[in-house]
Amino acid sequence: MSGPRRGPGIIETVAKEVPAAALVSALAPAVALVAGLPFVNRIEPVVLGLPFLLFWILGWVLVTPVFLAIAYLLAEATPDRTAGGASR
Amino acid sequence: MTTPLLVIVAFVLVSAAVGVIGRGRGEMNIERWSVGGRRFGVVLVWLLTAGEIYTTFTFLGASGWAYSRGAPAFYILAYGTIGYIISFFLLPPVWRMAKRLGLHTQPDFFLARYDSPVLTTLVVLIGVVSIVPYLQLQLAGLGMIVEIASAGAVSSHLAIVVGFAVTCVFVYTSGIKGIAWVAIIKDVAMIVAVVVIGIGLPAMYFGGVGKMLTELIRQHPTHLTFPGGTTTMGVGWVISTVLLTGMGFYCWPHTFASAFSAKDDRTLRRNAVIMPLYQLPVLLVFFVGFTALLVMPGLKNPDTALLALVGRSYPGWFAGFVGGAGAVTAMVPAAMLLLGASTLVAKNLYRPLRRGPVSEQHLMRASRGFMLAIAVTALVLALWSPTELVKLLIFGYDGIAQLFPGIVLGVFARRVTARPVILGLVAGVAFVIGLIWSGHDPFLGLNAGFAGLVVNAAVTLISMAIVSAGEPAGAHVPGTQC
Repeated sequence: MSGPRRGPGIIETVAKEVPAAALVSALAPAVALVAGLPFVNRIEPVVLGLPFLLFWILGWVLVTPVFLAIAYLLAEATPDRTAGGASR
Repeated sequence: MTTPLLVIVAFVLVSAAVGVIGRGRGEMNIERWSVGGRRFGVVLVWLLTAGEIYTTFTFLGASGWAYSRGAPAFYILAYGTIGYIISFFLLPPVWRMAKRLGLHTQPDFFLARYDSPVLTTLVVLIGVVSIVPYLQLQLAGLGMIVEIASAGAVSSHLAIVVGFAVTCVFVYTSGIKGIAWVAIIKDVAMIVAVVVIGIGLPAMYFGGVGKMLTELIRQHPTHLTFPGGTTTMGVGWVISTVLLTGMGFYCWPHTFASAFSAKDDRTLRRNAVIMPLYQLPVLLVFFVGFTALLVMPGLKNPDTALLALVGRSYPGWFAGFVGGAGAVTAMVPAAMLLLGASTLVAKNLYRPLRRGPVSEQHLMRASRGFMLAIAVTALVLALWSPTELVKLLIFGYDGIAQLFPGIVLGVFARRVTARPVILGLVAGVAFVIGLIWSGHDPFLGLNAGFAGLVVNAAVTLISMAIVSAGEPAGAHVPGTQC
């Protein structure tokens, strides 16, 4: 086993970049869900029987896996991916 | 004995038996008892993660808040998603560090990264203290289930003591692997119960979820927008609470530890992708709370809304099934929290304090002792300081989320040393405690824990800048021994 065992130096060997596109894709639903709340705090329009506020939150929860799956694929496609997989 | 109570007792006994069988053979040591020896396959790891997510909070707390508060409860649907998104970036690097350095617990991570016994001790203390209200929540929930199922024959205090005893016996006999198997029963029973009552109850009384919601909007036009049935939980409170609890989601010692037990970093990312869907049953739980508000308004304790409505609407055996599912849903997370917290105290607080070698048996005994001490603390609080279930979990998050800056900076910012993190942590925790004790929660319309987190992050970053200013540009900052 190489490298320091304690202190900030332990980051050196494990820090790994996630491509910016993956970052954007994964964070998008979180930002949209939260930032939208002040504007969707209302009942109308009722969508699929749900008041709009509840529909907004539920909708983002449902599509988050899609955004995260895209981020996952983008991260997987990054060539330096193997650097951290020393265990495999 | 009433039919529901009989079914609940049978349910709990079968679960406990599965726990004992599932723990496997061989001698127990602290590693096996607490982390299963780090040999868990993907399925078992996933079950454990899932086993910690649905708790009494999801079952009784969420319906209670949907009943009494309305829209502010929606934060429960949202915060897990924020937590999983953060975990997508945070857990893989933590896993790689843990793998390379052989870390087992959250304080191990802090010790390795910051090389500071003071910070590590602080992390253990914040972890354990934050877990206590989380445990109290499970015991209080168990108490409600037993009390209602016995139709009042068992008093609420006695019911909480019974719940505590059952949980302790369960942990002592099962260990983490046994509990993981019971988590299967728990999750299946919980999902079945929630789907049946979440769709069934609105249909039974109103002919469907849509019609129930229409009726709710007609009778309580402000219930389904913020601040709902409250005066203080407006948009600002909800946003700050979602952010606080989302950031705190993987700061718990037990959730953070999922980065240790996973087989590889890729598994953690894949898990993060699908986990948001795990939050969906909460929606059905809301529907139960809303239906209860329309059908039986004015309940003295809103947290009993789900149980009361189920008891009134279904035959005894099914009410017993729901109660049994609820009981196991309290026992499994309570057992996991107890195991996790006692292991932290034994390994990261007690062992470093004892000079010289400490035998495995000794540590195991100490760990069991600490477990009992933590459980009794939660029991005492549950008996003499009852609080709404959701409020209890938010208290826990007020504390545990303060670890977030130290974790994130520890993983991504090489220049951060122990001192700024300690200062931020102390400032954040002190600020939160001050706000809550002086009755300033919410603070300026924000969740007090979030206000503390802002103070914490600001102090950390400012003292970081001061430390950096004292160093030549680009110099490597060595781990500071505090």
